[in-house]
Amino acid sequence: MYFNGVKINRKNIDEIRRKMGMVFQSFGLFSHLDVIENLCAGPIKLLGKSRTEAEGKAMDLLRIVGLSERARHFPHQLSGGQKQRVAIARCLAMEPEVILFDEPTSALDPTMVGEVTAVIRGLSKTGLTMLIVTHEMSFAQEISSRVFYMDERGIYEQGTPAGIFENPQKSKTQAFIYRIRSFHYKVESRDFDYAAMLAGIDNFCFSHAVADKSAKKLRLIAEELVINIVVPRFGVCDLSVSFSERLSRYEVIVTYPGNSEDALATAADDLARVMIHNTAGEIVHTFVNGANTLRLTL
Amino acid sequence: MKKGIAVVLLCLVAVPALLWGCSQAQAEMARSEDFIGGDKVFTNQSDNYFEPATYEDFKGKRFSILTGSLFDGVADRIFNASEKLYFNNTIEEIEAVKLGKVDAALMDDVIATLSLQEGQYDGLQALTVPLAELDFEYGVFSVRQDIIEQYNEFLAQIKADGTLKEIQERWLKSYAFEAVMPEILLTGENGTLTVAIMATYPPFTFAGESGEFSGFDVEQLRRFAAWLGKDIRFVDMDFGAMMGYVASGKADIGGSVYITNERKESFLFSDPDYVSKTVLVVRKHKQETPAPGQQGIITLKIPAGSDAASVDAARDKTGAGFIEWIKSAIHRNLITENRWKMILDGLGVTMTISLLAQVLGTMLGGVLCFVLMHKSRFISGLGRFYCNLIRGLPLVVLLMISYYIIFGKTDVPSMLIAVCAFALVEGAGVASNLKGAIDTVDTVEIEAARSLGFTAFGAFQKVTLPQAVKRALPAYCAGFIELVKATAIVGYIAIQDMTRAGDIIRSRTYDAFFPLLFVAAIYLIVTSICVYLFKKLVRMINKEMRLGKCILTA
Repeated sequence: MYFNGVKINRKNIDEIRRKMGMVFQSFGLFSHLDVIENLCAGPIKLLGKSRTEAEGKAMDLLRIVGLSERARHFPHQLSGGQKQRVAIARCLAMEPEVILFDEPTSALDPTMVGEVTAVIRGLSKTGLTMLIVTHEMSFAQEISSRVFYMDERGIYEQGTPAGIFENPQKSKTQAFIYRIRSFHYKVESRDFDYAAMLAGIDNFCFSHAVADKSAKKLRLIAEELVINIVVPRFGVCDLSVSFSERLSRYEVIVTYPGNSEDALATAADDLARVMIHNTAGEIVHTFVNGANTLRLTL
Repeated sequence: MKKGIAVVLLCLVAVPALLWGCSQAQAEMARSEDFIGGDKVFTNQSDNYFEPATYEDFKGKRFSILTGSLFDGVADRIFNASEKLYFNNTIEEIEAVKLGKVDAALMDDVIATLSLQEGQYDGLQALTVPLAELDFEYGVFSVRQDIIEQYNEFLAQIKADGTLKEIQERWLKSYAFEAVMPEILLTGENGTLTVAIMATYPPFTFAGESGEFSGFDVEQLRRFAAWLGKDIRFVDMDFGAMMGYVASGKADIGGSVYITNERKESFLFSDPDYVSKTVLVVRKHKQETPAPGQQGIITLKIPAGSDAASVDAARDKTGAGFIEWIKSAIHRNLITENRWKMILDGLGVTMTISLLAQVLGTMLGGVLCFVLMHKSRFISGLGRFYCNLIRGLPLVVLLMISYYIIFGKTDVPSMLIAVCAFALVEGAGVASNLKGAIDTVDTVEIEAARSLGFTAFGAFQKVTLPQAVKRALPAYCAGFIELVKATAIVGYIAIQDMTRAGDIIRSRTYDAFFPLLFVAAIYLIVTSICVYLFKKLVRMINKEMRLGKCILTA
């Protein structure tokens, strides 16, 4: 790990930490010290500032986070949002080159999230480098200059906020951004338990509060496509029923093996084909890596 | 705080009042027993009450015995005792008879006779046991051959010139508390003779004027020291501790004890300087006239106007009430012979040991806490082992081990040993307490301090320690209070603290309760003051922490 081109090791870590602030999920304010002392501890002890100078600077910072009135209060007398703002001010008191935020709003009541994000938003305008780990998507989209989606033990996808939030490329990113919920069922033989599959779809729609009308349509498409068209012809397939909370989009995706062939177009069962065509809005067939995919969108 | 003071005051008044009430009831009973008519029958005497003709009636009864004395064996051998209670001094033995806890106390005739002069023991009497095998010889003991030889030579000399007879007359044949110790010139040119004695054993050894040791043994040993051209130092302790004290070589010589074959195996004894008879101290009974064949009750003339007589007078006027009782008790136990000075000196010793042990213990505890927190499992394990070891031992045992085994052969003053022993215990307590408090400090705060750039030690100093100290303080204060009280056991290693001073006074005044109560009251006052001061300290520290060094003005 490098900081400003210097490799971080045990020897220089304390030195580097002085230039690198950190805001914790659970605040980490020194509970035996009042707000002003929390802010002054580092600068006096580590930066060698005089008490007058440190306190002056601390008051300026408290004004920035809107808490100058609370200078002589103790952490236990503050609300969660106030504590987190003090923690941010404490970081700033060390005049860091970068601040790390570890889920700064996760431990907060939803009503207090706003006051903390407002402070961070204000800071973002000053040009200070900030690295924020957060689940507040709209907040991230709004203030970030670069977004990393973390999954599978590392950076899964990265890009500009526009790139990640408007047009995610990878499936997990998409599932996360679009808040996609899905139901999977694997058909392994012609004698599969179709009743269990249909019950699974019903259950999925019920537990995610899918509107009755849409639920019926999804069930109909899945039933006709899998039971009457794909399975009689190919024997096996993967069914995926999903919907995006964010885009209000419902999809049925069926994957099956074989040569490139649009099973729906070549289906022998006309009735089933017509019913599907009438129910689905958009039907796309693709063939990638030896697998056919039929994507039907409501 | 006011509530606390009220409770303390209430205790100080209520407890003596209660005791006074008890003693009144007892006196009442004693009187009615004395003047009982021939045809009246006592129904409340059914338990443990019987009419002895001779000492033989006490076979199979319950006995009180001085811890470590050879009456232990006598009680079994001669009396086939059904139960034995052990006490550390004569007064407690006799008190047990008076309270009916035992049926008889086995002791030396002169000791019993002297004790029974006191007004509060009107209801008791001494029965001699006319068995030759219970005539015991007294002699001093030592582990050093040369000293014993010198003593025997000295003894032969004073026997020959009649000095010994004079000493015996003075202390054993008349009222010892009135006797005056003759001036004996101690030059000290040949060093100092250290003597272990039990100061609660009149008339052989007791604390006289202002706590000066006095009595038969004391005069004899002073003369011996003078004869050797040495100065003398008496070290007072419980009877049970004397043997160990002399055996470990801390004292050159031990004051007179009975010479027995068993003891001769461990010690060298001088020639006997006195032969005593054994008596049973028992409760008096309905018949005042001795039955035929019963041994006569020993009487001893008390000089008019003596302490005991005036006490008797005060006792007789029980109608004068509580205030009178308190007044006479204070006079008897504290003012006479400036006995309050002994209590005061004892308090000084108690506080010196407590404070020094607390200071040393705190330092040790601080170091030990770091050991406990050490990353190496081996080192922290050692710390834990130490804590468990120390806290698993009773304090008395630890104290005696330090005194007789660890520092047994050395010349380290016993005060220092006591301070060290208590510091070891206090250190373990402080360390565990501090470690516990440190563990409660939120790790996020430490991480936050590290993230600001504090080093591990810096974070400990700035964040962990202030919080831990604040949390550990109440238990720390309680620990000191415990320590003050725990020092009451230093009497075991021959230190005259406040508790021991109370014991010595009791052995003089034969007042079983008042010195105890007085000492208890002083402990209570001292600990209350400590609690108050600590509360102030805690408040001050908290205030200091709250306000910090901030110069910010509104």
